[in-house]
Amino acid sequence: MMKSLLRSTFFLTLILTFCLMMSCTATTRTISPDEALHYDESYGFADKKVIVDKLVEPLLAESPLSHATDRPIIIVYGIANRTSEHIDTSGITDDIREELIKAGKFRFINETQRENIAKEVSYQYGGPVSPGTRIQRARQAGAQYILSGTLRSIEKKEPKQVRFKKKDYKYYKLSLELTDIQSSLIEWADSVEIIREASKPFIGW
Amino acid sequence: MSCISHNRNRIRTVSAGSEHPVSFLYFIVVWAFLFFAGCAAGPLRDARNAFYSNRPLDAVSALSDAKPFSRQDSLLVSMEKGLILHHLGRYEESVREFLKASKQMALQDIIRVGEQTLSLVTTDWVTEYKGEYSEQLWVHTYLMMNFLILRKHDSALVEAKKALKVLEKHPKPLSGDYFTRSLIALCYENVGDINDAYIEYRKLAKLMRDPSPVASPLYRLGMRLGFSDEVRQYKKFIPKSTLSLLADRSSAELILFVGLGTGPVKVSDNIVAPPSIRLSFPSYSERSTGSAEVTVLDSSRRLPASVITTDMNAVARSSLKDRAGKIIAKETARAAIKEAMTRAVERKNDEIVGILLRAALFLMEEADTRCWQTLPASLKLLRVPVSRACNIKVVIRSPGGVDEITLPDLKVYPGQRVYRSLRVNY
Repeated sequence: MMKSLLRSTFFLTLILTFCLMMSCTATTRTISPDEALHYDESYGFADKKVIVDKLVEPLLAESPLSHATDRPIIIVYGIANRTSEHIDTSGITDDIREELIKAGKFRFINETQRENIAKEVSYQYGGPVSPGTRIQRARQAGAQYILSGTLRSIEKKEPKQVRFKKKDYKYYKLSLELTDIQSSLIEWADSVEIIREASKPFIGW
Repeated sequence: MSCISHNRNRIRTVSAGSEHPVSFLYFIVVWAFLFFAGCAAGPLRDARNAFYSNRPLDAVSALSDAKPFSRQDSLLVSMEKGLILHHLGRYEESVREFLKASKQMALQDIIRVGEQTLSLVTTDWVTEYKGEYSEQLWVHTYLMMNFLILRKHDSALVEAKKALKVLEKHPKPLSGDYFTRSLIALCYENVGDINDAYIEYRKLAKLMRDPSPVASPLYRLGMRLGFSDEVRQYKKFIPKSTLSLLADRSSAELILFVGLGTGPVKVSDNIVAPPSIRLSFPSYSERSTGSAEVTVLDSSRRLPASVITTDMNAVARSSLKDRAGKIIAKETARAAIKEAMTRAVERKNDEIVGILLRAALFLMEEADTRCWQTLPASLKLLRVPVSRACNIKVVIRSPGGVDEITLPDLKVYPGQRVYRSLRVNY
């Protein structure tokens, strides 16, 4: 009796150890950028893709600029983050710009490189560069439109009650607008909304 | 930490006279627990000592990433390291540490059954340190300061919103933190959300006995929002000389964050009842008052400044007091469980085992006195209108003496806000 008890305890321990070791093994897998993967209710890379897709399409198809033949020049002034999370909104504007450039309907001012451009120009005119190969001054293109936006969020927690899980709701809204620099008029505006619910356990090990 | 070392010595004395094999086993278990608890706190103690001995670089290296820290103390490590880096002016690194702390606090929103069960038969030192409500708030406060200094206004606003969540969750114990509330308002103001900024200033005016320090921003923002009735009310608190400055749109503003004195530490208060029941509760003990007079001079001319102060000692105390009910309930449950355990062992084993277990559990009953120890005793926010060219000197008269600090390379442009952070320990 005692012997069989000892034996079964030994086997049980062995199985448990094996299971523990298996669960502790490190794994890696490649995820498709199109796969919507959410561990919680907060903003993730899949959201960026949804936002970019949903905003680029109407900008290319419905905006008053979509029929312009002279490829209007746009400057991106970024998306203001008004959420309660640290979100790098420059990732969204970078992707929007990239999609619009690929569509071939717009041109963009490289605002982030302005300092470097000025540095390079002053170097070229500083003496070492042969006059024939110098770029011409005062030939930079001026922007006609500003692309800007705001990312906002509203959070809601489930009220306190007896339960083992708590639910959080999060609402994100990204508004994007295109402003005519000459007239100060907003030529186009659109927004995209994401609402997500997540539940977390109250108790864990 | 000193309490742990003290207990370790006492247990050695108890076990030295015993030759019983079972008692030796108990001795090993208890000794091992206290030894590891003590070891984990070693680098933290070294860092704090170095920080208060005016060796902040040594303090940072004591908490370097290469050193292993127990999971239980990792939040404290991030808090202490973040603050020391802020003090050194390494704001980007400080942000990284405080964000680590913030992330950890968010993940701690769960009751760990294993940890809680173990703490019911041992001590709260075995649990992961979650930080007092006040400490949780001050992580966001320091992040706001860092982001404002780094001119990352969007990120500062994110932290302001996080701080608001903590304030909304624990309104009563944190109501005295005027500094954080004014920082929140400032974060809204910086991004142009003047209505939200006005709301925060108004909340602050209601909380403060004297609303004079926030009367100027309330007057200025109220004018822009068209709240004429309220503007008239706040105008009464503004001196005439300041009113003319408020009208001057070319005036710039210097915002000084001044940390003064040495923040409070937790100590253990004990109640002993026969036969060997020990109830141990944490309480805050002041190390300095944080009271000081801060004067801002521009080429020896005294500049008008509005000052908002948070008494960190008082906020920390009220924060702990708010949690007192939970602490008492857990302490009582632990005492009952330990007594039941001891009686069960006494019934089944010989007397010496019971006595040794009683002694071990008695000594192990130690209040969780972990806390963020590099905090100042008070935090002051000074708003100083300054001209374009200025040669600013800050004079701090405290019980520790007179400190004169010159702010180097202060360049301001019309309408601009410039942020600087100072710390004086005494």
